[in-house]
Amino acid sequence: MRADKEAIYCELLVVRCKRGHEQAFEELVAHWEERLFYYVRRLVKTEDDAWDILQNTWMEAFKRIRSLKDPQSLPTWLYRIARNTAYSHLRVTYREQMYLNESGNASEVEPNDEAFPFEDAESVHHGLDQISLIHKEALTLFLLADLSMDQMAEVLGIPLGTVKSRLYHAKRAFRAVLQQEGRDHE
Amino acid sequence: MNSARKEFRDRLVKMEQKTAGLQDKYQEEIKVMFETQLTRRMKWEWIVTGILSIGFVVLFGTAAIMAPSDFPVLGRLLFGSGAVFGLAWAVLAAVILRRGSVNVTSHGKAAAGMAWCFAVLLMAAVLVLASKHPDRIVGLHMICGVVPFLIIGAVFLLQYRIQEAELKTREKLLEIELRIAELAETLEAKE
Repeated sequence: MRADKEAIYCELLVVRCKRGHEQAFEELVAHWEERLFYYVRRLVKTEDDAWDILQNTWMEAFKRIRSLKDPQSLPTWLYRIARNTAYSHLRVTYREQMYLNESGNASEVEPNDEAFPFEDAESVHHGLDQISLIHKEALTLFLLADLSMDQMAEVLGIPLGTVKSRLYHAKRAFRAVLQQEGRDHE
Repeated sequence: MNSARKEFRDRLVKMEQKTAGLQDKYQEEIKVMFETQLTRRMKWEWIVTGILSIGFVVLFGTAAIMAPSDFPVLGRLLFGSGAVFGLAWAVLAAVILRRGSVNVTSHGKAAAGMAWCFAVLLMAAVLVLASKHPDRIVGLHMICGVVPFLIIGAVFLLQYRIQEAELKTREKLLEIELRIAELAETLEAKE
């Protein structure tokens, strides 16, 4: 589905959900669950936890969808609910610990699409699990390509500059992992 | 998002290994998400609601039918409304108890609608009775007590109707936009 068509389709589903159509919500779940699962799975250790979090995400979304003022902001809204649910699961102390380890300068870097190995989904998938949670999360959102940089900043609750910085470092860390794995194979 | 990024995204998402058993369990939970299974306590609450509703039907139904012939029509209508209201709740309780679960959307909507209708009907009746009260001061007090609630009820209904109309219009427009996007996609594919 093309991006503009998908955006219209999602907006339509939100409007129908707000009108109380159960089937529209089921369609919404079917449309988003794979991507949200992929994202959530990168945040938690076990698959079982990821399914639980996804289920709680949908419950929360169902409860709150009538109050979603702008249906166009659905992707940001969904990822934010998923993230909050996942982090509630991970517990605050663990999250704080992870974020204290964050490094990087917010103002000087720009993520570069060209430098990323977009052709090799398998190595990207395996490489993602080798980098830190904070980098993994930013990179996963970037790779899922549902959100703009501004929307990513909104989901992650950080300034735009920090998102760019985090992505830059995430890609660097990711490339280092790939190079290391390449060396190990040789 | 360009198509290459989208294709990559789709391939990446497909790489995720999922355990069939866990996924099935999740799918089952999602299927029953709109249904709240009745707990023991909820079951008893609905049984009591059903019994009380049947009591309402019997009481008000009898009163409406057996009232003396010189009994005011308005009063008879009020009793009749009470019986209908009781019957509606009794039916809802029976449906829910038979299913063993409450559907959050449809049952919730039905219960809220019935409660709203009854409240407005009752207030309207009090208003009519107040206007016919022999003591004008008492009648005025009754009207003053009821009118604010009636206004709140009307505002609530109006807001709901406006919101519904807006959503319906938006839905229709989006359906048209989606159709146009689909046509554009088909044309692009043909070229």
